[in-house]
Amino acid sequence: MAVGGVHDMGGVLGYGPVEPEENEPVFHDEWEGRVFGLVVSIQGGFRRSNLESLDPEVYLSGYYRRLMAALERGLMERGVLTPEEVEAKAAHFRDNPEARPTRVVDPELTGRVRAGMYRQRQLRREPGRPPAFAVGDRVRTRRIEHGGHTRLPGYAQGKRGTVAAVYAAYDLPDEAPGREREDEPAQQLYSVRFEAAELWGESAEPDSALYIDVWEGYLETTEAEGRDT
Amino acid sequence: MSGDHDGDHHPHPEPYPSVRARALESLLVEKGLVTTDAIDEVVRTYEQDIGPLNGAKVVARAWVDPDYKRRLLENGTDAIAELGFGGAEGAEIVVLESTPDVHNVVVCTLCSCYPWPVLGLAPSWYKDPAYRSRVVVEPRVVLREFGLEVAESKEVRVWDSTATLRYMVLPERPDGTDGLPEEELAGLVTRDSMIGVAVAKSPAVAGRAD
Repeated sequence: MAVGGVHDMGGVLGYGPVEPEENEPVFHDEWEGRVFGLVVSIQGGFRRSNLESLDPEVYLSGYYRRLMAALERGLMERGVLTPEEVEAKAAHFRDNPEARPTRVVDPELTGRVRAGMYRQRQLRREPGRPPAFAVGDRVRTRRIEHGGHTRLPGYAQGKRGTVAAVYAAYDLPDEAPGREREDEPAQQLYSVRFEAAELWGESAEPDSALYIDVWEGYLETTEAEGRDT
Repeated sequence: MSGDHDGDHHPHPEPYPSVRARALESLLVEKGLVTTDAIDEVVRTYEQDIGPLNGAKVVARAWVDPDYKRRLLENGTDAIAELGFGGAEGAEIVVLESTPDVHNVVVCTLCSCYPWPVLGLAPSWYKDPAYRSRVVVEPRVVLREFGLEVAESKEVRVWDSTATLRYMVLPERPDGTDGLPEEELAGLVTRDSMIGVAVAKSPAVAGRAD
């Protein structure tokens, strides 16, 4: 399951116990809220690949830190920010701990950002063709070889499951390095049930199952096993 | 407080992230891509308006109104919109009913997908590696770390939100709540019970806690 990056965490051992925090605040520190506000306000500020290609150390440094690093990287890729100006500005704030960010107020923009938080987006797409699978079908997931972003977790690749629900068609967010995504048609999405033992073998807990959302292109029928595709 | 070890807190200030965040905000404001009050508004909205109280109202309504519950399980997004909730990260919300036979728990192993309109922003543990890596392999062990012992007779279903859909758990209605008004029922519904790492509070425990 070494196909994924550090973000592909399902089933990886060694991260220790879960540590829930009592009465955890929404943001632990002011900067976390500011970073989150930037990400929400600036549409398309970064892409998922910006997040997933961060150094593991940065990725693992905490949610808002990786969000900030991905935003910075995304805006630099788009030419909105240069490394030099970010370094210069950071030096300014490091040397002037009392200094505050430049303040500009625009109620109209704020209204648009506010509306965006409540806007109900329509993500369903025309599938182009009827679903290839139905509830109850035995299926097998493929192995994703392209090395870019995929929404099929490593632990669920090459595994057998059963279609539990036929959802709608949605854009497939896979990003193979260097591949154009514009022409990709939307794909049918399914909920697929995997028995724990299929995924984890003897170490699986009894009476447990995984339900994973799987795009049609990740699936083949079990009959197709061994056939060249 | 487990949050104190990550270095962002006084008395051991780690200046890097706050300095970096100020630099980014300042540059992006100067370039006209964002404004100070827009960021203020986002922070305020998720600190005050959009949080798990929304989801608790949805659950309480489902507990008292069988027709609503049926609609909620059929089309979560639409039924949740009936109560006025929807928006970012809520285009497709699927509600999973936990029953005497099935316990549902939600994770996003690839990132941190979470149904913001009903639960607000995710707690740190949901976004951190320990939960994301382990709950798919050893859900009962992880749930025990949250203080939840799932009966052997129940099947545990772990839902990995890998795609467009966002999942919310409809926890079982606790015993001893017959006749309680909807508002009081909502008070028994915790964020964790809607992720599936807890069950709803029982009235006695809730009384003590408050």
